[in-house]
Amino acid sequence: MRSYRTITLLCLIGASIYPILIKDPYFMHMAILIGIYILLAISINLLLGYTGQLSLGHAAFFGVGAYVSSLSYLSLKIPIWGGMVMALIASGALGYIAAKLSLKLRGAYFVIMTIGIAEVLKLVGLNWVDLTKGPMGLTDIGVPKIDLGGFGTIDFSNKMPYYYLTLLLVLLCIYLQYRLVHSSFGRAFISIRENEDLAESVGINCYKYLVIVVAISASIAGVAGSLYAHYVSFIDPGVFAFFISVNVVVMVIGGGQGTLGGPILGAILFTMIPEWLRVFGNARMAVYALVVIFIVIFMPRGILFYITKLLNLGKRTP
Amino acid sequence: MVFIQYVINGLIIGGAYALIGIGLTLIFGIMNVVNFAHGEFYMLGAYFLFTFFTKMGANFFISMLLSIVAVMGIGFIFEKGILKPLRRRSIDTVMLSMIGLSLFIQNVAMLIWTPVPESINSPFPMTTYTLGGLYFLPQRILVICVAFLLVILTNLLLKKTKIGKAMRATFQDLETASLMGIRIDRIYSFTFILGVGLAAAAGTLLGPIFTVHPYIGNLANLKAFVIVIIGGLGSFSGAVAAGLLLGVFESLGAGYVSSGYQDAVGFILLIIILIWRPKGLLGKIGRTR
Repeated sequence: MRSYRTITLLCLIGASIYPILIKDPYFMHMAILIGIYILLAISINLLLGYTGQLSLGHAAFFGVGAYVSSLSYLSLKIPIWGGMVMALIASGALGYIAAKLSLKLRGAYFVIMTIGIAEVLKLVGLNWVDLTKGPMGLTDIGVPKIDLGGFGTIDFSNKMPYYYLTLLLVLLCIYLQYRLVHSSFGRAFISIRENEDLAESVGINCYKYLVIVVAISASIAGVAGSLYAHYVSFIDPGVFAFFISVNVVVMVIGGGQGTLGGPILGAILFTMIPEWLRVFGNARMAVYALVVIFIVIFMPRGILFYITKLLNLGKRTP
Repeated sequence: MVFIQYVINGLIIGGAYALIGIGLTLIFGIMNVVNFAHGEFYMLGAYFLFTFFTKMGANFFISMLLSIVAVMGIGFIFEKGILKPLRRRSIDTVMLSMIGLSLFIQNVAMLIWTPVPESINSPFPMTTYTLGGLYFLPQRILVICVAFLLVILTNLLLKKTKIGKAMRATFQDLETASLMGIRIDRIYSFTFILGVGLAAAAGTLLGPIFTVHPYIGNLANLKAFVIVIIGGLGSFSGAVAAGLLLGVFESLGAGYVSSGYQDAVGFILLIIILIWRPKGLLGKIGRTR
């Protein structure tokens, strides 16, 4: 338990001094992307890791967050803070409605429903040209400058302030996840994952809990979308891509579903692996696919599980 | 008259959709595998036809046959290499491996054939036949004829032959079937090869009508899932009906609403049907996953 705490503290310190140690813009860029993916991974982990429902349509919530936040900036001049709240509300509401409709079903039916929702939204993004500019996408999505009076200004178009903004949100989200899964809510989620019929029989309203968890998960994905849109300052209907949803699920399963650290580790690894595979040139994504298959087949409990097993190997094994 | 034309066009495309759907529903029903790589076999079918027919100049029908056989061979390798070792693993693990496989096939196809969209020229004249005010292109007539032929043949295979009987037995009760001396491994291999072969056949039929690029499998895959769920998971006649229905609704949606939303029709149909009849149109099986 103590070593666990030490590792958490070390990670925290590492993450907060990272931009001071590493000035390279490429690594700052990767760190911000990882932060956004961690938010998405936590969002999937709440649903998949703790309640056992697989969604392959989280790009829907990510994309809605990105579009709502960008549009409220571009047409109403609402800065990122307001946009983020609006993204949270919009994605959460969409998640609530989607869950109400699709949670009457489980397993493969639910998975296909979630994919369907993301695909319909992608087509809306492509075809509702008046609002979304269609395949052209939205450009010039700005970020705010904060005037600190005599202390200068914080310009969020620089990578370092944006990194800290991302870090803040990630930490908030990790804390939220921690509190949630250690509450009576979290115990209800886990009981649903383990045995839904049994959970129902002891008085847990599974449908209600699942709708709530999808709504929370969707709002987190929406915030991630807003953060992403303002960071890259350009979005197109590609934010609804099936590949994003799949990638995040791979992160969660590869890292370790149903754990607090697993999705974070997964997000870091699976954002970096495609970068490391650049040596393969055009064959990069094919090799990445092989890595994904390998991890799914040989490490079904996630990399975190095998790392902890490896670390405990030196000590006595119970 | 325009309405009937739309319906007929829809039925033609729907015939090919039915083929993809049957393949997926067989694989799901018998093997309990959610084959996310199904659309990629459709894509491979179209690309092999492009290579054999457009590039190498072989006879169209021979190229079609060769393409289907080649895809079945690839399917056999993947079944033995990936699905067989995963037989006792959870459905989610298998599903994610199939997603990985789909990503792999897509990217290998991109390396072989480049991402540039290709078109396969129809070997038939582009003149349209008119019958009672309705228009027919020879290529499209071929699609509907071959599709129906294959649906009937597959149905006969399932109903009349020994291996079909064994497949149905496996579908009903895996353990009892294996106790009766049915070699489950063989049935699984055969089912997978048959399923991907049907998808490849659909690819060779629709390839000359649409353009071919490495990502056509994505949409084909999603449509196959829509068809299978609308028809009821594991239901053969359901998949045929849902395939035709999807074709017709898409055609009507493109004609009367907007062609941009054509591909959304399936999902909207899916959402409506799942709310109204969660087991699918003709689904009777009480499987939950």
